[in-house]
Amino acid sequence: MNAHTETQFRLYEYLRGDLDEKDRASVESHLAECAPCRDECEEVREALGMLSPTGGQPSDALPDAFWTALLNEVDQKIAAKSDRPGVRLRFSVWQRRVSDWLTMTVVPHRRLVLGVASIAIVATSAFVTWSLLRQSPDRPVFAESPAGAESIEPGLASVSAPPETRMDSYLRKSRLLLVGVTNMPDVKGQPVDLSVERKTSRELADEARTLKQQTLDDRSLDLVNELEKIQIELANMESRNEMPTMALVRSGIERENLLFKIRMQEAIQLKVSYANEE
Amino acid sequence: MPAAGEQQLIREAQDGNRDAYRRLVERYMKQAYNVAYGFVHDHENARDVMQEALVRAYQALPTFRGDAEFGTWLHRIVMNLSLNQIRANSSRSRHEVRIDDIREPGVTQDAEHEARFLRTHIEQALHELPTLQRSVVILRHMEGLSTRQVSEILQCSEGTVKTHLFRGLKKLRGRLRVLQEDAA
Repeated sequence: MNAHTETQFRLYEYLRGDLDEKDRASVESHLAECAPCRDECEEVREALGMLSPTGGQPSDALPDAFWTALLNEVDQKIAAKSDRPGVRLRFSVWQRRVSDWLTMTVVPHRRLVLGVASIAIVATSAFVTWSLLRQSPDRPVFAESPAGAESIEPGLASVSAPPETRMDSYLRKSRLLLVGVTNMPDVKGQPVDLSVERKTSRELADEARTLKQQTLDDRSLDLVNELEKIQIELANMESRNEMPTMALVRSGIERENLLFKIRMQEAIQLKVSYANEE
Repeated sequence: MPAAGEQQLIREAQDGNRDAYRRLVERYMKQAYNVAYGFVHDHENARDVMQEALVRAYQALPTFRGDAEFGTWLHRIVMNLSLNQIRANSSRSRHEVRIDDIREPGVTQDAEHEARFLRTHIEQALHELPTLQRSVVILRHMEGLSTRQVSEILQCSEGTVKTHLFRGLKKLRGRLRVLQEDAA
């Protein structure tokens, strides 16, 4: 910072007499030898002279009753708001207190806390790995599905579940499967890993057969028949298929408007379940 | 960092004690009001700003961590709401000349009228400053806050505060001269 800027920075305090002796001497020394800064000093002095006789602060003119009324109005407004701290933001208070407590207790024992946390992370990782290894290598992992669509929860509704629940579950999983197949990236000439889709299709085809043995209305029966055909087709595909065959399956899904039919049936099922609840 | 007594009031207010909040704001409301008035130049608008600021401050109080002084924090809310109010009023005429501000030629003005006339000029000149310069002049000069407090309110460096104060005062002087010459 050069002497001019430094002096400009201090002019206000200088003119108000707020500088200590050393700084005041420094400003005066610069002003004595710098005409532009002297002019600027005079401008600021004049400005302060013009600003000073304003007849006190605006708040001075207001009676005590004004402040009492203002505070009362504020109090009423706060009381009227349902989201006052006592309700909405109490969480923030607790959050802050927990944060303060953690700061006070954790920081002094940082090494110990880090050590315990590391052990916990290692133990959790080991448990998760062991759990995964215990399961079948064929277990569907839809999140990694090449279809890149929504992941499907493993397993259908249990055998003991009511028919409506099983039908709901069957429709939802069929829809997810078909959405995944429809949205599969179209890479020509590249083999596609369909192991997950095939496994799910097998499960769904089995479920379709079970559902057909139960009492289904005509509309549901037709839909399950159509879905079953596609599911059998998918289940019997080569595990690593090429896109032309997949394109045929997709055109079948589109031709039969299967996704639309599933959504319609789901809407009907939902309506029936609401009616039953009422 | 707020003083111990103030910290206690803040904690109680954060827990929903409205009486504690009232006692807390009583300490700062007049200065905060002057800040609001410095921006909006009107008691009615300043009162609206204050009312809104005090309600909002109460609602936001649980997020107040006490890193700055409560007064500084409140001033920041007041200043932001004042600027909002100015923007909201921008379509309207913000400086309507009041009938009692018009000086009749040849009529001797009493001291009170003269002071009011001068204040109107200052308000007008302040209003014509860029927002940051105006904020610094109001907070630092009119309200007497320290450079550090102003820098906390405006969330800028102390050097920036000093620069804007210097420039703002120079501009004010130029504008006031013009206004006074016009009036003369």
